[in-house]
Amino acid sequence: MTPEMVIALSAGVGTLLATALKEVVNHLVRRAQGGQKSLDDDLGEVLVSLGELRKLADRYWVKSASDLGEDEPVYRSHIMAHCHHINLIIAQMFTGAPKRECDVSFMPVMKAVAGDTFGNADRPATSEKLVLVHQAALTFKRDVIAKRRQKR
Amino acid sequence: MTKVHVAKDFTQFPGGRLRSTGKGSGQEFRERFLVPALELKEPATIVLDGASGYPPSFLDEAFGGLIRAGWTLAQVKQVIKIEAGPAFEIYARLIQDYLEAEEARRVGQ
Repeated sequence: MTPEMVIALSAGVGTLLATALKEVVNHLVRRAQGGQKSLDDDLGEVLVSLGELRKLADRYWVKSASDLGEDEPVYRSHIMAHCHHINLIIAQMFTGAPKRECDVSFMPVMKAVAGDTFGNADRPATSEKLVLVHQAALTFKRDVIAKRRQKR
Repeated sequence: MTKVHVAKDFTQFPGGRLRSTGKGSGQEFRERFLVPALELKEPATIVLDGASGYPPSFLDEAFGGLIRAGWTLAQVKQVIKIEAGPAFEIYARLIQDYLEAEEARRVGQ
């Protein structure tokens, strides 16, 4: 093999390696961007569910169980579905301490929305409870957004 | 050691607090699974996964209700263990919260 051939071969191998490296880097960047987008989508879904939960809580707690009549179990199902949906997404988004902190932040929301006399047939209208629901929900909203930012 | 899978052995749809609210109440769960385990001192693991979600009113009645019925937190912890996957950990934390709140109330009385 002549020196010219060695130089040409080295240049070819170098070009191939550079191209491969560029592809690997591009792939990693795309994957990281995809992961970030997925987290943003998950956060959006949590916030939508939280908004729905607050509206449902308003309609549920402002009336007694007997005033809600046949709508009572329907509201109850929607409330629990949104609560559990938020739990599922949080478990997908976070692990370890951030997950634990999100759970701890969401617990007062769950207790306010679906605790106490939730589901009782003789439940009176308890509209004064709504301030707790909305305060807890706003605190959780702030916490989950902060945890999402920490993952950037 | 007894293992109780709530979704399989009780209901996939845990309901409200009291039997009067219908099937799958916290009171019913407590009386059917938790109280017998405590009375027999037969260790029981409660598996939360697989249910559609647990209203805190259900959890308070089922577990907090044990302390209100006269058991101590130490007795409950000795016999009842909770198992929960990531999406169900929050329910295990709520159980712990209700047990501790009721124990504090009991001790303060």
